[in-house]
Amino acid sequence: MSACTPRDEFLGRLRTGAAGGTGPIAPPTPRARFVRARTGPDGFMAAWRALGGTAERVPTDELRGAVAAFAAGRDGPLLAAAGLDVDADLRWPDCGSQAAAGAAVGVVRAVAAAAQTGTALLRADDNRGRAASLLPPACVLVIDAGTIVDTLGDYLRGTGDLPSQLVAVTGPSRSADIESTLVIGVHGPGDVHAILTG
Amino acid sequence: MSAPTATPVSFGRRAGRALGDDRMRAAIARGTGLMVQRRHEAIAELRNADELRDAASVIRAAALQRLPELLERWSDNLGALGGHVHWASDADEANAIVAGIVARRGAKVIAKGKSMVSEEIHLNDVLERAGADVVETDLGEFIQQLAGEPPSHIVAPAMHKDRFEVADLLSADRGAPVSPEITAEAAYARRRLRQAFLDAGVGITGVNFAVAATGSICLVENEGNGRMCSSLPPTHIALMGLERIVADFDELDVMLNLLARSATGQALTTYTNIITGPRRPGEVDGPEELHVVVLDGGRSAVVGTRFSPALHCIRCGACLNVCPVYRQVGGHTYDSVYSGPIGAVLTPLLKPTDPAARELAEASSLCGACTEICPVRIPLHDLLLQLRHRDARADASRLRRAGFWLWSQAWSRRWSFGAMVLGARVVLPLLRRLRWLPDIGWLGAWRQGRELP
Ligand code: SF4
Repeated sequence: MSACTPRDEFLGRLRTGAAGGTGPIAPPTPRARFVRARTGPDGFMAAWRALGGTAERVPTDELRGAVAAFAAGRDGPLLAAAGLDVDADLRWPDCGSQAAAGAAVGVVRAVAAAAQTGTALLRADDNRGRAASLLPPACVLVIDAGTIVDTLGDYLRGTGDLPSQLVAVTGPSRSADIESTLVIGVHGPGDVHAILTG
Repeated sequence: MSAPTATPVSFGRRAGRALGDDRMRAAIARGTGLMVQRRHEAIAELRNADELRDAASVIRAAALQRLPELLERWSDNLGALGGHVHWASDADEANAIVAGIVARRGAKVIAKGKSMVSEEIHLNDVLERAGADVVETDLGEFIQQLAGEPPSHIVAPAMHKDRFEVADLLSADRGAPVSPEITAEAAYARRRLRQAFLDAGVGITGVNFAVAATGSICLVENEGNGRMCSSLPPTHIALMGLERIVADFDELDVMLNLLARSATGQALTTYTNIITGPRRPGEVDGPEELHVVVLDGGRSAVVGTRFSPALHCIRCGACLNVCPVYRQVGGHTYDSVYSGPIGAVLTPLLKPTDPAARELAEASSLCGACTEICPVRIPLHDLLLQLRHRDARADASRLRRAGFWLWSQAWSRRWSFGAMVLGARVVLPLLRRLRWLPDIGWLGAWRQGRELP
């Protein structure tokens, strides 16, 4: 079926074409340094809010209440990723995509966060699924304050195994495709709430 | 010597037309102006922007020197995790590979995220001819699909349209009025496209970087449509040019620190997806199959030549935004998937036998703003000059070059539009009277297509 070029032939063309002959190169890979460095839970929350998200920090045993308070009064069910210990109307993936698409709020646990850019890290394995944080118009990201690192690069360098998908979420879904004007919540959630615990 | 009318509609004629489209020019001026300003502010947040740009330049050059080794390592790693890598020498092969997967999976609806490579190979035409319903899901690409036009900017595909033109397109699609407010337009697109994500049998996306050390592909985006396309359908197909590789996460980190800042003025895009194979046992969702199609498409002939830095491009669009030619005539005037300075360099390199593509190397004032802003320090205006020299030796007439010189000077930052008007009103008639310039060809055409003030 596949009409593709064999790999050796494809790469062979590059062997003859490449400048080559210089041996392996170890390019310098400096870390970014920032005019205003943001670190720790407060740094993360400041960056997250600057992007248009909301954030709060609660004691771990108040997580349930915080999630319930965020979801209160919303028009539609609350969806939580499997394994997350909160009260939910729907569980992903048991409820199926169509039901998930009808949820008002999705709740997931982030595996870590990067303070500098206000970035929450979601893994397809530990987060028990990709869709819970993607389909509903509002998303709650539960972050253990102890997992906050400085930058996305720091997280990536420190992670050994990778799931099939790791997504770094930096604020609400947005677009500036019409008249270069910012709109929030185009396909992913526009209303993003970070709850830091611990 | 053949007259410079070898192409059916020359760049000059298209530029003349674009100059008469005040609405488009206002939209482009606004869009590029905002993007330049946002980029400037975001780069200023870095203490060591210059150091990072130097490093990015070296990383890209080093990657091209080690392409076979890096691509081999990347594909071995991805293959070990169950991902399928397909090698496509040209557009036909790439299209056949994608069409084959779509047919085998029996997909009727295809949800598509932004992919410049898919534009390069005209994938949608091929899939639609095979009967598939291909839905562009990036807001700007969706607008362009409704308009039946290619993207006019590599980052903001519908930059040349204002909200009223967008409302007309969306209203026609809906069969009922959509208000010309940007939030209402985005909300309509969200509702309209949601079902396509859920129904799609195949999701297609581009690739920003492939990471050799882990076998990953990295896809950056703001809307969430890339996440949808790569997460919800049972099959995900990603398309990439063969040059889009970095060695490891250290290199990726340098690139990510520059890409979004240069493109949209963000520190990072909203979603940075790092995809490493299809769904694994124990994971609850995600595609069963992941295919990555790697396109040559003329690139291997450029690797190792003096034009090789053109392949360092990370598609941030910054050079378009600062280019005085692009800002006046917009992306469609280039009549190429890649417009602006990088398009003027890349198009003739990837299509060496196409005279219309070669003509694009002239579409620059050589002011150097593109080179100055490029995050990976591609010497764009120098490459343009070298392309002109190459082509000049090949076939360009002196007259044509003189004409383009005049024209490009008029575009430059120091000269004004008034100089071009003066040129058109005074210098050209003079030249013609002295029989130095025929009244045909692109200059004449340009002049005829333009109402002189
Ligand atoms: S050539 Fe440079 S500035 Fe232009 S799009 Fe590519 S990376 Fe960006």
